[in-house]
Amino acid sequence: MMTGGDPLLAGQIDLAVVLIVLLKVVGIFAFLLVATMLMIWFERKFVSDLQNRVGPNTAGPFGVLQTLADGIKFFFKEDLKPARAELRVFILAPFLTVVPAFLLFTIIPFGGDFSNGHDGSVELFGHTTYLQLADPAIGILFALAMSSIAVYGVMLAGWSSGSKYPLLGSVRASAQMVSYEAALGLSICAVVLTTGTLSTHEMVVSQAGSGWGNFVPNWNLLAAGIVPFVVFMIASQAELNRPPFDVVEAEQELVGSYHTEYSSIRFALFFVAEFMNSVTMAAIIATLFLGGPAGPALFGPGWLWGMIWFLVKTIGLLFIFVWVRGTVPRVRYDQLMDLGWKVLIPLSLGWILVLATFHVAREQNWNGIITIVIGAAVFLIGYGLLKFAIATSKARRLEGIVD
Amino acid sequence: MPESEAPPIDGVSVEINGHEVIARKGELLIDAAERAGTYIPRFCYHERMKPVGMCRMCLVEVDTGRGPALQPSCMIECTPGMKVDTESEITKKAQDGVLEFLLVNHPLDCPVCDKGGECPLQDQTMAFGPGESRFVEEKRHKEKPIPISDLVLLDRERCILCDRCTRFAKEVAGDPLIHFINRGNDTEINTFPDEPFSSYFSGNTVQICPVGALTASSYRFKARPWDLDTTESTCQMCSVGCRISIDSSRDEVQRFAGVDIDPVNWGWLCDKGRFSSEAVNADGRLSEPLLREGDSLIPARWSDAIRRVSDALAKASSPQAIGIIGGARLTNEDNYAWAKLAKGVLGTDNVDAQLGDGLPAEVVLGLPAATIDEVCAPGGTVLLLAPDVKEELPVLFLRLRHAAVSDRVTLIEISPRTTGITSLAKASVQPRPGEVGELVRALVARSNTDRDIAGIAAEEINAIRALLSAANGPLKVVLGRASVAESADAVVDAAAAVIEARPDTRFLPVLRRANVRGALDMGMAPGVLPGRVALEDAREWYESRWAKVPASRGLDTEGILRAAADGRIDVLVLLGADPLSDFPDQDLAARALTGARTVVSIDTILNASSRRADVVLAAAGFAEKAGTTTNVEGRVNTVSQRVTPPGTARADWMLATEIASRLGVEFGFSSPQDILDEIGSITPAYLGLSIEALAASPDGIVLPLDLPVDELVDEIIEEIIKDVAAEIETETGEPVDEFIDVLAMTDDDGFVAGSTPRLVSFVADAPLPVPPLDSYAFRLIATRKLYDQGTIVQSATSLAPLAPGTSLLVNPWDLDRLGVAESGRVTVRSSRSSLTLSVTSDPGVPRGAAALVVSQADVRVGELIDVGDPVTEIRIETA
Amino acid sequence: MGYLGGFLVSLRQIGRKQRVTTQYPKEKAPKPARVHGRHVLNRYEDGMEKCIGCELCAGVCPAKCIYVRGADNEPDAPVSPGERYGYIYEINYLRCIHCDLCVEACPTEAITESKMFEFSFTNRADAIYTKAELVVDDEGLPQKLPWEDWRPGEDTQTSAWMRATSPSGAANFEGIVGWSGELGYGIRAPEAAQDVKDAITAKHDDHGHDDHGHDDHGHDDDSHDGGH
Repeated sequence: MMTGGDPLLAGQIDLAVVLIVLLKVVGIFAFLLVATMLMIWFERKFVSDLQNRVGPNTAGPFGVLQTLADGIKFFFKEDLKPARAELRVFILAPFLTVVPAFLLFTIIPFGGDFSNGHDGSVELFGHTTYLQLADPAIGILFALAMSSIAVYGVMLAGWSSGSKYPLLGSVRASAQMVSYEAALGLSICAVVLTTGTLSTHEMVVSQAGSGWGNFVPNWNLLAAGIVPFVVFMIASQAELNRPPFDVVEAEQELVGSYHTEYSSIRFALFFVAEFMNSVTMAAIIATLFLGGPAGPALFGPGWLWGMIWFLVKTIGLLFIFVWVRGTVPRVRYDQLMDLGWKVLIPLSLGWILVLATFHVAREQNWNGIITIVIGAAVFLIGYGLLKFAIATSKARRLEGIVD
Repeated sequence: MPESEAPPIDGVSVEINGHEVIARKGELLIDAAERAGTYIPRFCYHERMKPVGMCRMCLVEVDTGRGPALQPSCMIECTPGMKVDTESEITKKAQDGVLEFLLVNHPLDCPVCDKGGECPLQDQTMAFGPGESRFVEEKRHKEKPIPISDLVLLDRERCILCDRCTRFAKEVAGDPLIHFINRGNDTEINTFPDEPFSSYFSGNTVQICPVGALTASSYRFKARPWDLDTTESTCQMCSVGCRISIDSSRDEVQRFAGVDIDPVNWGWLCDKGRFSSEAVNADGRLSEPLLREGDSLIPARWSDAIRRVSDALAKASSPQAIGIIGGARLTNEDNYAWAKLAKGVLGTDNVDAQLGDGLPAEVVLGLPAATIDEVCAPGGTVLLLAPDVKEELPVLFLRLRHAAVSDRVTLIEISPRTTGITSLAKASVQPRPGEVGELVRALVARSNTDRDIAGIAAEEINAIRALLSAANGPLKVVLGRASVAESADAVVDAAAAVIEARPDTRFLPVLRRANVRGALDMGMAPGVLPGRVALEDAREWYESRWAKVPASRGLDTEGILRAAADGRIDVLVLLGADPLSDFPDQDLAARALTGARTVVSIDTILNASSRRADVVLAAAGFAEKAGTTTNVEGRVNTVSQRVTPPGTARADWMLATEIASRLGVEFGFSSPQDILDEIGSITPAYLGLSIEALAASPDGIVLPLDLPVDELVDEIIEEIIKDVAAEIETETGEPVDEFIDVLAMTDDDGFVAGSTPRLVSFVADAPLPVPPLDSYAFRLIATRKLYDQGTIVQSATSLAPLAPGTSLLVNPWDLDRLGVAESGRVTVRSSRSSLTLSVTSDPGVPRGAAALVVSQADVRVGELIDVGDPVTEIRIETA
Repeated sequence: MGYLGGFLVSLRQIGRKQRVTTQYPKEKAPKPARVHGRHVLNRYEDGMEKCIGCELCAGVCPAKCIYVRGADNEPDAPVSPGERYGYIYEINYLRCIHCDLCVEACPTEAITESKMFEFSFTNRADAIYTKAELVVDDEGLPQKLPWEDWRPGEDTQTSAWMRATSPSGAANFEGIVGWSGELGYGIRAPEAAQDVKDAITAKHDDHGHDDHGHDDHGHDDDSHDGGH
């Protein structure tokens, strides 16, 4: 396997290379903004439909330009800076949430022909390049890093507002995001274990082939097991502060939480950042678990089909996101933390163990049945121990003993 | 029916609805029940009129020992052991039945009827009525409404034939101009053909009518009871001081209603007082000050106008060059502030609230006083040396009429011509103008006279003398200026004769204008200071409390006008006074206004004199400011504010305070209450007067209070010392333990705590000589009518057209002698001027005299009069 | 299905036919017959105004938003039948709470409320509707002021509330039409659920010039007080 690296940057860096990179940057930037706008519109319309109402239908055909109108409105609002705010951090914080959202998308392959063994590269102005902005060796770790920086944005926003509710909200938000990042990371571990590489490009390539019974594609959805996928889906909702994990933004709980004191375009930036993150997270899930742009190129240019498959998968995931939002009630904060720490993390940890065992067993040609039995046993014991630990601590808590 | 509230001597025990009630002796059952808390419905019964038992609404079951029977409770007096049941089945059936009958022909006019919302028929139907009527046929129809006078409308369909209006007109007012006509189902109230209900008291029938049959045309459709806000106040159209309630809506006065207080008006009002409510919001009310520029008066700013006045006052050459006329329009607080400004700051004593058409202040303040109740005390004898009270003080006329008709009071009238009360007097003589002093001297002399005096035959004089001698108890005299064509000296002379001969006589001096008595009490006259004290007696008292007092006695109105005409007055202030219209000598008034260097008029509306002023300040009028007023008896009662003054018009006390402030003296008055506090603590006759005392006595307080005044002053001083000590203690934190015994200080210590000065007392001059008789001349009698060209009557749209005008009234014998036909034109010539007008014969005018009514359109009586002459003699020629 | 059953529930809501949104103000939900809206001053069939300026509406108004003053009818140009008419009649819609106590109180059915409540003005002076604006026009329809949002059909139903609740509560008069005719409509039919046994037409031509004593049903003022 290749260890990653965009062929564009392998050779000499001349003007064409720079221009191509710039072109990709501009393209991704524009795409993300438009995608965010459409995502917001889609969410509003779809949630309305689930709630038997119409949703925005006045600004533009079917209300498509509603987000634009809202954005313009935000520009015209008064920009308040609270007197007790720590001003520099106050101004910085929205950018700390927005910028990682943009940066996250840099590692995502959004097109290219991966069928029939192609590696998804295209020819542009005489240079071969992948249809992604960058393909560093660390690959997916960059995504994790960016989402960690986003936590900074939230936390600093709340603290620098100089007010109680934002502080409370940001503390809760950062706790929530940090906890679920662990689960996120562990699921990514499982994927990495399966694909054997951190590079996103390589992941896509590995998923492009055939999987189980030459029937289904080799998506990590199945190759790594359904569990990491589910864990990642849940954890990503929590990471994004989306319902049902939106206790952070719930107005009934915390007024506006970390963005209470923000107004005008700074608020808009938070707003945009959240939805941009949703788009990006969907894209990451598509890349990690569903093969990204990989898919049959039926007719015409192959790279275009890559884009189409990528878009189809992303939109499908966004559909699921919104559907979950419109259906599931809000999770209480303690339930949320329980879920993150006591369910998702042990589960994904356990699954990694299982996967690893599975891989080693396959390499070392262990007896499959024994492996499965012992694996299941260990799993169950682990589960039992965990349950016991939880029950004990709960009982102690109820007795008032501080643990 | 109560006469003048006799205290309960005995009680009569009756049982009402099972409870024992102690009624007064002779009290009607309906009154006893109401006092005990059981209201018996009624329509025809009124507390101030004799009951007739016509409406049958007050039927209750009464058992006087022969078994229960329905009796009209307004007709039976309580007898011992009576058992009354006002809630039995029979009583309720009776009430239901009476109301059903009354409503049979009563039109369904409630939405359009002025009485709706305050209608006894509505209220009693709700409370006592059957709820449904069985009458489905057609009700009777009459043309509605018909005007029975200029002020009152009659709706015959609504009339429930309770007879209250007819009884009032006949028994109380003495004008039986309205009565039932026809009979049976066609019975209705109406006036006589060609004789409208032009009584001076017609408005009272509107108030007492229990339905909307009699309504006031000035209030027709103006407002509804739920629109109205009400305050009690005292009428300021004459000095009787009837208690009224002022109803206003949306900051505009809508109407006045009479309030029943026992010592004064018994709930009645005269029409002039009642319908003057329209004048409050009249067009032409001054809303901003005016300054003269050339020929016209231009609106100015208050600061400029006040500065003009204060500069003029400051630049006056001496205090004697300042003259202030007026004060009757003002409240006591306004008057006190102006008196303090004039006498305490400016140091001038040229202050007079009267316009030369009243009596000297010492006479009014110094004669021993009687209240109206005392004058009307049953069985007494009253000598009327007064103007026609029916024209000038109508409700006083009602009281006197009641006294004469129901209380066996003997009225003896001495007036220049017959008046509205002549028919009620036991004896009435009309002496020649100017000779009443000599006549009265003869009447109170120890022995009979043998000659004719003042044109009255000796027998008549002796007959009256006998009546006076037979008087039961002290004589009461109602004293006033009957005719402005003769000087006041004659009637003052008469008063002096009476009090000399009979020292226990009590006087009720009736000066006409609203608060003229209050003005005099507050020192708005030459030679007196606030609190009915003479200048010299109270000099020390006031010098320690005010900045200064005038150096010597000043001029009265006649003197001020003469000085102004001679150019010796730099500033002439007219406080709501109109000398051009009201001073008897018009020529002198005109010359005075020209001669005074600066004329300041402080008034609510432009009148003839203020049109010639240099500065006009807009004052707040009646119902627009709060304060107190004093009536003819010296009874103080409150006037209340109900509406806001127009534009920036201000109360007169505010103007005085501001002018004083510009002259460097701070009065410290920020409300009428501040002034009342000062009055109650400084002015001798009004000591002890306070807002709490007034609130506790809704009937008013007759002053002076019967208080140990000196102790009161000591108490006040002690309070002040305690307050100051407490302040010092709080500020310095150290207790004050050394007091200077202020009360023990004497004049040597330089501090005058002093006892209060004695009040003014009347000192008679020497008897006047009788003016010589000129048999070719007639002596002029100038009297007044209720409706005249006065500003308020003319501002009230319904009253303005009622001023009757005047012609020359001459005795028929004299008409024959002159050879003039009835209603011919004559020229009247006096030493001053001449007038041409028509002549009418009037047997009420004595021979040798001719009467005119002042202040009527087109006849300027004042042109004929010269105030320097004791009588005005005129010659009459055919025109 | 446990947790996942809910997802199907929400998925089932997708579909245009299931949307309940009313696109206000392009389309309006239908208003019930007796909705309280802007008042109108009615007129008799011969054009005379019903308002007699009695101020009962002003007296009962809990928000004190009505200002009425009566005046005498000019004998040769009477505005209302009888002695008195509403000379000044103003309603301040900034204060009105549309309780319709005034409609209940009016003795002549002069004031009733239409169904139109969509009237927003931009200055306080416009908020005070004068008699000229409130009185119905010569066809008996309410006047339409520039800022009011009248929809077809709304201006014809201005007295439903009153016809639903009258005649007065006495049982004898149940089923008998007890209201007077209106300009442009004559005697209107009662509300749907009511039974009309005897419609009074001929007797109502005379709308009682001096008094309502002519009526032998329903308008007897006596039954206003006390007994029910």
